[in-house]
Amino acid sequence: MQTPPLHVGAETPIGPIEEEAPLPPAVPPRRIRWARRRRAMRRFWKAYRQDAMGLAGLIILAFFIAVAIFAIFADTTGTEITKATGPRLSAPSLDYPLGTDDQGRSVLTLVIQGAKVSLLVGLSATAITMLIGSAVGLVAGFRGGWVDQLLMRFTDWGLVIPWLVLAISLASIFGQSLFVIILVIGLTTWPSTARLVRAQTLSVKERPYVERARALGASDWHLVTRHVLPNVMPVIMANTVLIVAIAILSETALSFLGLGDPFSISWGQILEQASNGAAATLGAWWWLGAPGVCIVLVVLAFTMIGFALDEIVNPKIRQR
Amino acid sequence: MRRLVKLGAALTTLMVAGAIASAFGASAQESPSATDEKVTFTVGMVNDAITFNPMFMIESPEYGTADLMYETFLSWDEDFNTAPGLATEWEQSEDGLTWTFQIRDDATWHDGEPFTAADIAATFNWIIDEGVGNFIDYLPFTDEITAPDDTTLVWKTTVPTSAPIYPPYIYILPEHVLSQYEDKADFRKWKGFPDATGTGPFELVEWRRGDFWRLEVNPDYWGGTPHIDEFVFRVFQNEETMVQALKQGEIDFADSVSAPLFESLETDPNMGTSEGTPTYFIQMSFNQCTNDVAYCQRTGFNHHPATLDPQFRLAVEHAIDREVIVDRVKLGHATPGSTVILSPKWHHDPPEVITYDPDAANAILDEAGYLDTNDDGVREMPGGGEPLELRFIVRTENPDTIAAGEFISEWLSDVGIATNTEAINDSKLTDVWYANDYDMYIWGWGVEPDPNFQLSTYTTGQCGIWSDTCYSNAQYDQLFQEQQRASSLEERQQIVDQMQQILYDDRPEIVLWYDNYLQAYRSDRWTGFVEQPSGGGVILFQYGYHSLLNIQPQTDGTAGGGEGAGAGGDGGIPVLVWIAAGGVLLVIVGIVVARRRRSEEEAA
Amino acid sequence: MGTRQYVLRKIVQAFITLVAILIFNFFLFRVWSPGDPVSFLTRGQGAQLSVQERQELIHEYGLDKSTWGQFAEYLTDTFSGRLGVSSFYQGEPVRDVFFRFLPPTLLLVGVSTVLSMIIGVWMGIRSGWRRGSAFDRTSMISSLVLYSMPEFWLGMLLLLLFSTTLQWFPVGGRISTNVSELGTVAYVLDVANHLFLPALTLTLAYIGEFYLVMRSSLLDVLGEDYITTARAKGVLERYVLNRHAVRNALLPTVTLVALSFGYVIGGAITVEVVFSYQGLGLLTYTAILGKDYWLLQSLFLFFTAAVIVFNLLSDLVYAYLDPRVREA
Repeated sequence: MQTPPLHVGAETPIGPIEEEAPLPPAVPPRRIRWARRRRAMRRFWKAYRQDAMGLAGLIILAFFIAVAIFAIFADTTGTEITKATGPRLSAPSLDYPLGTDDQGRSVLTLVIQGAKVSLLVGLSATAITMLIGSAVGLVAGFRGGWVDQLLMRFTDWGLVIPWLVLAISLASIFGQSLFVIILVIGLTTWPSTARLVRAQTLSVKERPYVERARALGASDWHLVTRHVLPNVMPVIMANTVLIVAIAILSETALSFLGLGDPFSISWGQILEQASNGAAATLGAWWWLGAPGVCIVLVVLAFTMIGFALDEIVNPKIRQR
Repeated sequence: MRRLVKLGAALTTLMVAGAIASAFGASAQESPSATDEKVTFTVGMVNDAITFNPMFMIESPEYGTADLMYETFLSWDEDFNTAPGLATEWEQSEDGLTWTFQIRDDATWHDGEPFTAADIAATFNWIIDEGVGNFIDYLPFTDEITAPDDTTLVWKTTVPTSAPIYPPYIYILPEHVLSQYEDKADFRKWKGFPDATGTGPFELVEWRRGDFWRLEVNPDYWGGTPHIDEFVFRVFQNEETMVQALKQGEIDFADSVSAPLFESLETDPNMGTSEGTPTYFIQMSFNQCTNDVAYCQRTGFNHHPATLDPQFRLAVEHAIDREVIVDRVKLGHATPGSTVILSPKWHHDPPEVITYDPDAANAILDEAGYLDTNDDGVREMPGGGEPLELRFIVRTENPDTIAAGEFISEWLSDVGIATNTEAINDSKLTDVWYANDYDMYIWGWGVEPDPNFQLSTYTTGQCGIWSDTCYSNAQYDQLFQEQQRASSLEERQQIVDQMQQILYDDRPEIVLWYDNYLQAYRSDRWTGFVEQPSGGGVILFQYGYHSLLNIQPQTDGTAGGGEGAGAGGDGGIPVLVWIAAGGVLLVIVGIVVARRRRSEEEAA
Repeated sequence: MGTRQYVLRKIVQAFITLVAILIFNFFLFRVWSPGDPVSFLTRGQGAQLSVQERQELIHEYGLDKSTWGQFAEYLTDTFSGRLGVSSFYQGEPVRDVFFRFLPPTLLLVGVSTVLSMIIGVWMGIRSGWRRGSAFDRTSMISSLVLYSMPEFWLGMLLLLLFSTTLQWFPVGGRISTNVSELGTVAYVLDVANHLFLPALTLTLAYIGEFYLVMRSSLLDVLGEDYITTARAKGVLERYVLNRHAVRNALLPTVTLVALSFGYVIGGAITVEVVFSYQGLGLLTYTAILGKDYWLLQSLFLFFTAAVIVFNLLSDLVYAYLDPRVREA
C-alpha cells in the first residue's frame, strides 16, 4: 500500500506566496486582499496548466465526480439482489456493458453506485483527517513548549499504530457502518498530516511579517488566521489531495476484509463479492477488473493532482 | 581484466554449486519418501477442526475425521439400515427390557490392546455417569449396561425401546483410556490429539492447526485394509482456493463445493462430480430463550423480543421465497425445505406448506400490531416500542448462507423488518450461540438416518448442549420420550410425524432448504467410490466405510501422481528454473558491476 | 555528547509511546470489546460446565477483578510473556500460536521490503538524476500506477496469471502438506515456491513508494546550492551524484520509509489473506472473524512495537548519517 504523503522537503521552509507590497492610500484592505488572491489564483492555474500529469488527473477526477453525482440521482434497484434480472456471470455485452455478477446484477450499475460510496467515504474521511491533523499541527507548531511536546507525543503514538490493525480492531468492536468506516479511516490517517502541518507552521512562524505583526500587538488568533494559516494552506491543500487517495485505498482494503457497511456498495465491496464469488476461477474477469480499474484510476488521479500541486507549492523541485 | 576473471570464476563456481544442489533438490522433490510409494489421498475443506475429542465435537470435519479413527458399535449399510459393526448380532428379550449383543473378537485398538465388549460398556456408562449431554439421548431408559464376557454386551432398559439399534452415534473409546480421566471436565481438556486410540481404519498422526492434519492407515483394521496409506485433510480459507487446488492437483477431493464452482467442474474431463441426495438441511433459527429454561436463566440471554412471537416468525416465513434461493443461490442443487427429518423413511410432508407471500406477511404483521408509526420503513413493536431491527448472522464457512442472507435481508426489509447482517466464522458463532446472544442466524445440520438424535435437539433439556434455539415445548418433550418407547415401527412413525409437524407449526427455526451434497474429485487419479444411498448418494464421509475401503488409485496413470503433487506437494516451478533465474541475475549484476569498474578505471 | 543525548531522547520517546500503546491496547480489547469474556473461555461447553467450574475459570483468568486490577495484572502478564489464551485455537497459549505464525511473515515482509527498497531507491535515483528522460517518464507512470493499486487486487491478478493460468506457482498456503517428508533442499524450495507470488505482490506494491520518495528527495537536494557549487567546481557528474546528492537525499527517505512501515503491515495482512499464506497477517484476519480478542491484543501489541522499534532504528540511522542532527 501507500504511505502518508510523500512530502519531502516538508522540513525546509517554503517561501511566502505573496509579496508584501506597500499599500496605496485609501483603498480598503479587503479589496486589496481579494485582488491579490485572484492574482495568485491565476498564477497558480497558469503553473498548474503546464503540468500534463496534473491536468490528466483533473480530467479523470472530473469524470468520476460526474459519475458519482449521476449515481446520487440514479435508480438503485439495480443493486438489489432480489430484483436482479440479468443472466448470471455474463461477459460484457451491449445490454450489460460491464457484464453481470453472479446474481445477474449489472456490474456497470454496481460500479456507478460504488463511485458514489467510495468517493463519499474518501472525501469524508479526508475531511476528518485534515481537520484533526491541521488543528493539531497548527497548535503544536504555533504554541511550542509543552503543548507542542504533548501533542507531538500524541501524534507519535498515532503514527506508530499500524492503521489496518487499528481499523479492523475498531470496526470489529464498534460495528460495521459507513460512519464507523469513515471515522476509523479519519482517525488513523491524521498523524502524518499533523507532522507536516507542524513543520510548515514552525517555519512560517519565524517569518518577518509574523514577527512584525506580533510586535504590533496582534493576538494569537489574528496571527494564526491571518498570517500563519494562509501560508500553510497550500501545503495543506496538496496534502489533502494525497490523503483522499489514501482514504479511498484504505476503504477498499477494509471492505475487502469484510468490514464494509453491509447496506452500501463501494468498489471495495464489489471486489469482496467478486472474490467470495470465485470470480477468478469462474472466469469473470470483468467483475474483478472493473471496480479495480476504477479504484486505480481515481487514486491515480488524486495522486497526480497532488504531485502537481506539490511541484507548484514547493519551488525547490520545480523544473528549472 | 583480472577483476573480470575473478568475477567469471565466482559465477562459474556458483553455477556448479547450484547444479549440484538442484540435483539433490530434484531427487528430494520427486521421491519424497524414497523407500515406499505411499498412496496419499488429500481432501480439501473450508471448515476447520477445533478439537478431535470424540466426546465434544461439533463441526463436520471433526466428525469426518473421527469417523475414520473411531467406530460406533453398530454400523449402517448402503441404504442407511442398521448393519453389524463391532457388534455382529443382536436380539431383544421377550419382555423387551434386555438387549443382548454379540461383539466381535478380532478388533484391536490402535495402541495394540485388544478390543472387548467391556470397552463399549465403559463408554456408555461413562456417558451416563458423567451426564454427557451430547450423547445422553442415545441411551434413554437405561437400567444398566454390562459386559459379562469379552464378546457379549447386555443392555437392560426400564421400558421396552429400540433405541439401542437406532444405533447410537457414539464413538467407542477404550476403557483403559477413559479410566485415566477423573471426570468429564478433566476429559474435556484433551483435544483428541496426540494419543488418540480408536478401532477404525486410520490413525491421526499429525495436526497443524489451521493448516492440515494427517492420518495413517491402520493395517490391522478388522474390516479390511483400505487401498490408501495416508489420508490428509487440508483446510482452505475459501472455496475458490480449494477448487483451484483441486484443479492443479494439490488435493484429490473437494468436500462440499458451492453450486457455481461445482458446475464449473462438471465439464472438466479430469473431474468426477457427485451430487448426493439431501442429508443436510440449512435453517434460519430464532432465539427462543426465556427465563423458563434453566440454561437460559443461568447464563442470561439477549435477543429482540419479536423472536418469541410466533406470528412474527410466521410472517418472516411468508416473506422468504425458498424457490428463489434454491434457484439463484443453489442453482437448483437443493430442494425447498419444510420439516427437520430428511430420510425418506421418516420424513413428513406438512399438509399445508407456507409459501412466499409478502402480502400475507404484511397482513400478519399489521394484525399483530407491528406498525410503522414513524414512517421510516421499519415497523416497531406493538405500542410503538423498539423498532424491528434484528441481528442476523451468516457463516463465512458457507458462502451459500451469505448469499441467502442477502436475499432474506432484502425480502424482510420489503415487509418492514430491518436486519443487521453479520458474517462470522463458526468459532465465533459457537460462542454467540452458547451465550444466547443473537436474534437470528443461519446454520445447518447433517441429519442421521435415525431421527432420534435430530429430534432430541429440540427438547428442553438440550438447551446449552445441542439446541439451536433453546425452544421449549412440554408436549414435544413428552412425545420425544414416547417415540423412544414406541412398540412398533408404525407407531413410532406416527409420533415422529407429529413431532415434525409441531416443529413446523411453531417454527423456532425455519428450514430453508435441503442441501444436495456437492463433492468433486480427480477422476483421472482415483476410482472406486461407492454411493450411499446407492443410486445417487454421497461418495465420501458416509455412515459406514463403503467408499473408504474401496477407493483406489486409477491404475492407468500414475498412482496418486501429478505435478509432484501425488505425495502432497503443491506444484511450483522446478529447481532448475530457480537456479537458472538466479544465475541470470548474477550474470546481469556481474556485467553491470564490471562495466562500472571499467569506466572508473578508464576515468582514473 | 549530542549523539548520546539524541539517542537517549529517542529511546525515552519510544518508551513513552510504547506505554501509551499498552494502555490503549488494554482498553481497546479488554474493556471496550463487546461480548462476554467468559464465553470464549468456556468455548463449546455450554450447559456442560457447572456454575462452579465457570466461576473457577473466571477466577483463574482474573476476570473477576476490577478494571484497574485487571490492568495491573495485564501489565505484569505481558512483561512476563503470559499473553493469555486464544479462543479460536481452543485455549492454546497466545504466545505459542504467535510464534508459530511469526517466521513466515518475517520472511515475507523482510524479503519484500528489502527488495522493494533496493529496486525502488535505485530507480528513484536514476529517475531523479535523469529527470525528463524516457526512463524517468516510464518509471514515474508505472510507479504511480503500482502505487494506486490496492495491493490485494494486484495479488489476485498475479494469482490469476501465474497460478491459475500458467500454473507456475501453487495456489496459496505456506508449505505443502507433505512437508514432514521433505529433505532440507526440497523444503527450502517448497517455501520459496509458496513465497514467490506473495513476495512479488508486496515488492511491486512498495517499489512505487520508495521510488517516489527517493526521486522527490533527490530532486529536492539537487536544487540546493552546494550542488551547483560542486558542478561549477568541475566535479565529475558521477561524483556529484554519489558523493553529494544521494547521500543527502537518503536522509528524508530513511525517515519516510520508517513512517510507512505501518502501511507495509497493512499490505502484508491483505496479501496474506489473498494467498492464504499462514503468517501473522492471516492470523489477524482469522482472529477478527473469530473475535478472538486476546489473540488480537497480542498481535496489535506486536505490530505496534515492531513499528516503534523500526522507527527508533531509523532515527538512529538518521543520526548516524546526518551530523547536523547530533548537534541539535
